[in-house]
Amino acid sequence: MEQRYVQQFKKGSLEMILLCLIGRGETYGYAILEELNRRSAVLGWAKEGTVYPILYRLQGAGLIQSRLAPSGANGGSKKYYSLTEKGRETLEELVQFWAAYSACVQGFVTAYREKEESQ
Amino acid sequence: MNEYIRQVERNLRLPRGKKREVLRDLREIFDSAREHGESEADVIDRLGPAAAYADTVSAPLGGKRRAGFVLPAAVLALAVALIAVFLAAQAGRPPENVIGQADAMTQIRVTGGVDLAPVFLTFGLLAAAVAAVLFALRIRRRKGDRE
Repeated sequence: MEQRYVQQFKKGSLEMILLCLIGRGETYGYAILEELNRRSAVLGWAKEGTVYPILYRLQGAGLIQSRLAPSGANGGSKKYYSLTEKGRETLEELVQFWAAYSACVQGFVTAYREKEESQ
Repeated sequence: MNEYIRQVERNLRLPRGKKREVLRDLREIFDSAREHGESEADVIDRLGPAAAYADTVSAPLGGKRRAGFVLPAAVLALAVALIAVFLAAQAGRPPENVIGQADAMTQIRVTGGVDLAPVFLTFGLLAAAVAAVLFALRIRRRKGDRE
């Protein structure tokens, strides 16, 4: 499969995937990675180097917020992410668009399949 | 792990607050991975080279890209041009009582009423010095990245 095209699909949808994931409930970095990796067969292995830049961008855009909570015995902390009001509104719009968009793309695929089968 | 974090820190071009945030997050990345039984080597392997990681997280935080060699090269070119003008002026200086030599340098000397050649030399040498400093700074930074 042409890796370049697949890469483009993933790139375009990862921000929405992260918003959905965080929208389900407060979560932190490693848990996000694990959740993504449960679908690694399709998504490929998630890396911090891919996820954190998106988290920074989403937070910079005011779509997610974070709070620090102490964790572990060594004085470390975990950063918990959640959606802001703006994030929830944006995600709602994105989800609606995604539904229309994927149906539209599927329409092209279906038409192509039907044409192929009739030949 | 500490060495890796130090290397990322050296490569971040961000305001202090954002830098602290990235480094704290990085510590959490290592801590969380350890809690889940991953080794530091696993994490470093996944994160990739420190300089590359610093670059990818800097972009969405509004960081500047690392300074390149364009500016020092431009200053060096300016230095060479200025010194070349000075040398040309020296070479083109007409002997006494000679008519002609109507090149650019002669005109500058006539209109200004003063000899401008030393000015070119001074600024040329100054630009060369600035270029040398800029090159040295950038080369030192690159070396630091590779340690």
